[in-house]
Formats: sequence, structure tokens, C-alpha cells
Amino acid sequence: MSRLTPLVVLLALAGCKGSGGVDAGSPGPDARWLQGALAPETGTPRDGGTLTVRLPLEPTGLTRLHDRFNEGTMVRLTVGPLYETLARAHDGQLTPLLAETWSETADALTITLRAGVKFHDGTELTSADVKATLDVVMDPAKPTAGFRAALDSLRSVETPDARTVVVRWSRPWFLARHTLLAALPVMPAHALQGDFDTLPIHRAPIGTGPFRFEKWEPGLSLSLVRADGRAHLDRVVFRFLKDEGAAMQAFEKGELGLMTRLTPSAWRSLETQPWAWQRSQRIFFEENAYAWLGFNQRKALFVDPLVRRALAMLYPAELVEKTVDLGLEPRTTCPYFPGSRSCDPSVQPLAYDPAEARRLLAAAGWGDSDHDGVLDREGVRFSFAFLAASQSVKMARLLPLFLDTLRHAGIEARIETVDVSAYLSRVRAHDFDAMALSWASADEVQDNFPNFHSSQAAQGNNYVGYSNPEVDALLERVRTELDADRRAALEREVHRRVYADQAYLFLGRRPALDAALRTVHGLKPSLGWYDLTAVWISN
Amino acid sequence: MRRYVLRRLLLMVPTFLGITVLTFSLAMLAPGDPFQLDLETAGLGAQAVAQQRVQRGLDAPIPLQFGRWLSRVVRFDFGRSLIDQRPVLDKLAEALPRTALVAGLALLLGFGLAVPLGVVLATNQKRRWARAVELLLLAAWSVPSFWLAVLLLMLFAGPRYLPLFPVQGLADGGFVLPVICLTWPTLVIATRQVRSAMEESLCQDYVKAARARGIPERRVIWRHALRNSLLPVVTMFGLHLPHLVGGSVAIERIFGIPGMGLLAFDSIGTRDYPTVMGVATTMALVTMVSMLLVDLAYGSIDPRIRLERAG
Repeated sequence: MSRLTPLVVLLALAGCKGSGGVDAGSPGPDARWLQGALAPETGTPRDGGTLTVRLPLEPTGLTRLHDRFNEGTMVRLTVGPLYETLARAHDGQLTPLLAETWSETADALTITLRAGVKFHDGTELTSADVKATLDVVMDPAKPTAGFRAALDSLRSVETPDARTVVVRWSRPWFLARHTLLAALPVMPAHALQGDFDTLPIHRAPIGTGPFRFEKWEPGLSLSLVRADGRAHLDRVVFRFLKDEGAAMQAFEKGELGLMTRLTPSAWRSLETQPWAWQRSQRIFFEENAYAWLGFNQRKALFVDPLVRRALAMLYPAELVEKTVDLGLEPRTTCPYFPGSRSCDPSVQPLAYDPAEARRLLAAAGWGDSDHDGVLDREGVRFSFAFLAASQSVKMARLLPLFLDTLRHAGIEARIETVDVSAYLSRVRAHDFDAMALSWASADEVQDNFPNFHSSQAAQGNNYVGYSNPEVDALLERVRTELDADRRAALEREVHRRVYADQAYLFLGRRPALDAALRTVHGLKPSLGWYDLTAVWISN
Repeated sequence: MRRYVLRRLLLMVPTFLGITVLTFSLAMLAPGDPFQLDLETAGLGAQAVAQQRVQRGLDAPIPLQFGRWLSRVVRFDFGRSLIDQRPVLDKLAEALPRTALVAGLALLLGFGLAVPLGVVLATNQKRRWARAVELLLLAAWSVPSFWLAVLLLMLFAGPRYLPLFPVQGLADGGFVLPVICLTWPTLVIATRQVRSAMEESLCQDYVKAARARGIPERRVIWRHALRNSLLPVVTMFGLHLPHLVGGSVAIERIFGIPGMGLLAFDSIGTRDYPTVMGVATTMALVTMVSMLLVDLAYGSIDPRIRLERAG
């Protein structure tokens, strides 16, 4: 008996403190906590303290201009407080930030910079810095294609004096103006000299934001310190914790103040933890991100919109929402930010309806002529492969459910799993029957031309090969329409047509699922993440 | 002896070339592209990807790329990562000491405990407690390291039980739990190896002769029998040496240690060829040196091997 003592002690310990040292008999979480809505702030902000943030991935570099570092969410989160843009976008409006004012003509934008703004290394912001940043972006030899594509209509940049920048356009394009003012981080000209790939600024940023870079310990953490009086926090430390289980332990221990990008299951698991109700708050907020299944419309099987509508009706949306997305990813029909005026709220998702799907397939000429249980047409069986990335946990759960309903409808589908690198190569080469992707943007303003215009099917992002001349014309008009209201009306028409054609089988909107200790205050989530200047820590 | 070592060192050159050619070819022929980002941001167009491939020389024939890589490596230049643009040597220099510390402690602890434990088990094989320990070892062998890691993390780093260690990293005693996880399998397998080798040695005529000559039992076991049982243990030790630079992906991920295992795993996943080759080259060199050290250790343990070489 005595030999079992250590195990018995351990189990007793588990029994005693199984609820994390808090009162397990306390009432459960309230409705606000369950929804992930933050409680209204009542306290007075105090200065000082360190916010420790868990990131599931480490950024590869900290310069958003560089294609390799640009789009990653982790980069956006970490460099957000370091760099500033000429203007800030909020609720569809632009307010001055580094720019004091700007004026527009049909083909030019004249920007006057704020006086007295300094970079973190003490040098003053001038028009030469804006020009140098744009020169790097527009240099075709540099890996800045992401920003370059968005500023494609930029013709020239002039700097008549230290505070004035004149940008001339070759043609009107709403996205170029928005990118220049609200997305392009302004970087110091002197730090952009030399081989762009190996510039020190990629790993030690020099910006004008409320926080300045302190240090980066590869694989472990990245820290920023308060640059001036705009922020309450002394320091923000981003810790790279890939393993979600370990991160949850650190969060419960109080080593992390803010958990970002939790998986739905981890976010849900907090509901069963009494310590979590009492010491933390869950945060749910909309992002401009959605997932979709794509059928290769270059292949005869998927050319007919009727067939794609039938496939959408065979998608077991409710089952997936309940068992895979855990009720956290509501279905979408819109390729724009769902809360924006660009989406038509009258468009409803196609309901799961196998009978109607079979009728549509029959109308498209598909029947089981040889009675083998699989539909066929002119000797061709309805059989295809779903390309899936091995790292995608969601697809590993979703696809078997979908394949099951397809099988019952007489469609033979199988899953072909490859690693993510091979996956993307094949998607780019259009070497697939069906696949899944998601699109995400940190901005409400977006241009769907690269995703749905037929000219983008060969080399661009229109991987599914969608083609509709009417949608092409609409997307072209959207690009040149500078009036926001008229543009939103055109985008709503794009939404209606793209959904009617089932260019994609739209899945769910992906929210941000975060959690913070109750000692962290001032968190105001937005598409651009939290405004860290408002965040403060209580005792 | 000197000639033997020199010959072995020279043999390392073609072996090294063979390993690197094979690794380079496999890495380059694997489907995928280093110039891809994550799934949701595949928006970088095909033209931009093609341009980056040309700029990085990845459009050249594989033999030419290998030649370029080799010409840099002989000058100790492993190039730059295709993902974060940092020198591969810097990345190796950061990851290697972390993995070597954890794996080295685990190796020393594992073999350091396995030898006396194996001897004690072999010399007490008929006792009930020895059988119980063996059964325990067998059960322990089936415990996956990652599961043990999660358990230890929860018990000794999480807040609920005994939060003695940090959740992430090696500082503040953070190395203890990963070392335990990595020691576990080494200890089990090495103990069983020592025990079975010792059991065999204890039945040999020279052991009986030593006992007949009245040499104390302790000396017979620890001096005569153990020395002859060590050959397979040395082999196993040599085979474990590459773990010093290989790392364990699961353990490093769970304990948040940015070591060689994670570096290799991530660079393979992102097709970061220069980093893949940097890790592979380091491992190849350590493995070859380990093999040489094992062979040399054989000679010092078993005089017959020395004689054969001399002959």
C-alpha cells in the first residue's frame, strides 16, 4: 500500500484543487460573458504595467511592406502600435493621423504632413520619408508586390517641401487612395537604404506610433515599450506560444493578460472553468474574414451554376455550424465585410435541401443511368477529389460530413490531403477539382476584382476560374467609383450575383476569439485589432 | 590508430556529400513552394511568386543550385532563410544550444541512471521487486513523451497543483520538465539493454573464473562483467548523440522551446530550403562524428577490436 502513496497524493491533490483554486460553487457565467461581450468600463485608467499577449505564431518579420511579412495577422498585431499611417480609417471615414490635411483633384492627392512628428530614433518625419516608402513599394525589383498591386494607379510622387507630398494617379481607383492614406505604414527614409531583404528595420522597426520596439527574442517573445504619453501601458510583451494547451495553463496562471486567436474549442472550454468566469472575460468580435469551398469551374463538372447551387444545397450547414464551428462561425453569403453597406442583407444562404438539389442536378442533365448509385451524364461519372491541407483541422472535420451528404445524393467525392505548401502550389496551378480557402482583411474597404474578375483566372486570385461578364463589368465600375455610396450599391449587386452564381460555396464568417484577465481594461476590439493606447492594467 | 582516424575522417567527405545531395534533392523535389504564405492570405499573385523564385535563384536547375549551396557551405555560409531573410547560421546558433542543453542533460541522466539500474536488475533478476521494476519499465516504455509532457506541464507548471516551473522556455528551471520527458524513454530502453547484456555476461566463463579465483563479487560485477556489457550500450549512446542536435518537435512545441526540432519542422513545412539544409548538414556532421567516437570507444573498451584494426 505504501508504494502507491505518491500516486494517491497526486490524485488527492487533483481532487482538492481541480477548479483552479476558486470557488467552484459560484454562480455560472452571465449572458455577457457567454457572448464574449466586454463589460462597460467604469474605472479610471492608470498608467504603468505590462500587458502580456499570447500569439499562436511568430511573425517572420516586422515590415508590412515586404511580401513575406505583409499579410500575416501576427505582423499586423505586433506592428500596429509601432507604425502609423497618414490617416486612420474608422466606420468608413478617414481622420488625419500623420497627415494634417489632404486635398484632391481628379488625378492628384496633395497631403500636408503634421509638423513636429518624430520617429522613434529621433529623426523628424518629412515628405521624403513618405516618398521613400512609396519608392520601395513601387520598385518592381523589390518584394513589395502586395502593396504595389493596391497602388497600381500611382503615377508619380512629388515633394515640393518637407511637409507636402503630391501623389498623381494614372486613373481613378478607390483602393489606391485608401491604401495610400489608411494602410501604408510610413517608414523613415534612412532606414530603407540598402538591400531591402536584409534591412535591419525588418527586425527592429522604427516608427512614429505610441509604442517603440524594445527587443525580439526569436521563438520566445517580442516587446514594445511606451514611446510617449499617448499610452497607459509601460510595456507590451508578445509571447509566442504555439501549443494552445500550454498557453491556457499560462493564462490561468496569470502569466498572460490577453489570449489571442483561440480555437473555437478552447474558447468554448472556458465555459466549464469556474476560474475563467471569475478572473477573465471572453472577447468575441467580427473580423473581415470568411471561409469558402471552391469548385474548379474550368472543369466540365462544375461549369454549370445549377450544379454549384445543388452542391450548396447538399452542404450540411447546420450540422457543421453545431459540431465543427461550435456555433461560433455564422454562415455568410457575402464576399465583403458582413456588417458593411457592401453586403445585401436580403440575400439568404441556400438551405440544406437534398431533394431540391437532386432536382437541380437532374435539370442539369445528371442522372444514374447505370444504376450504380453514382450520377452520370454522357458517360461521365460525377466523381471528384477535394484537395485539403493536412494542417487544416476544420476541413478534416467538415469534409467527411459534406462527403456523406454528397454520397447520398449520388456524388462520389474523396479527400486528397497534402501539406500546406503543396496545397497552395496546386491551388495556384489550378490543379484541383475542389478545395477550401479563406480570405481575410484587416480593413473594411476591399476590392474583389482580383478574386472574381475573369481576367484574374489565369494568374490572379480567381483560383476557381469564375467568369461572368456582368460581374466583370460591375467589378470594373466599382474600381473607378470614388463615391462611397454609389460604390456600395455596385458592391451589393456584385454580392447578389456572385452568390446567385455560387462562385464560391460560402461557409462561415470567422470571428476573433480572444480572452483577457479582468485586470486588463480598455480593450476596444476593431477590425484593426485593439487600440493599445486605451488599454490599462488594474491592480 | 592515427591512420585509422585519418581514414575515417576522409571517408566522411563522400558520406557528407551523399547525405547532402540526397537531402537537397528531396527538399527541392518535394511539391510546394517556399514563396507561399498561410492559407487565408494566398492572395500574393502567381506573377509575384514567380518573380521571387527568379530573384532567389530557385528557377535554376537543381544540380546548379546544389553547386551554389555547396560552394557557400565550404566557406561556412549557409545562406539566408527564404522566410524571414535571416542568416541560417544565426538561426542554428540560437536553436542548437537550447536543444543541446535539454537533450544533453536527458542523455546523461538517462544513461547515467540506466547503467547502475540495469546492473542492479541483472544481479537481482530473481527477486520479486526486480521483476516489478521491469514491469514498470515496460509500462513506462509505452507512455508517449508528448502525453507525459502535457501531464507534467499541468502538474508542475500549471497553476492548479504544484506550479514549480514556468510554462514556457528554459529559464528559471524551465528545462527540468522537458529533460524529464526526454530522459524517460532513454532510461527505459538503456536500462533494458544494460540488464540483458549484464545477464549474458554474468553467465560467461571468465566471470565464473573470476569468482573461482576469489575476486569479490562487487568487483566481478562492476569491473569484469560490466565492462563487457558496455559495448551495446556505447553503440546505443552513439546512436542517441544526434538527438543532441535533432530535438523533439512535440516536446519543444509543448514547452515552448524554440530548438532544432521546431526549426526543422517549420522549415520543412515552409519549404525554407536553406534552413532545411542547415539543419540537415548539422545533423549529418554530428551523426558522423558520433559514429567515429563510438568506434574509437569500442577500441578502448574491447582490446580485441584494437587488435583487429592493427592487424
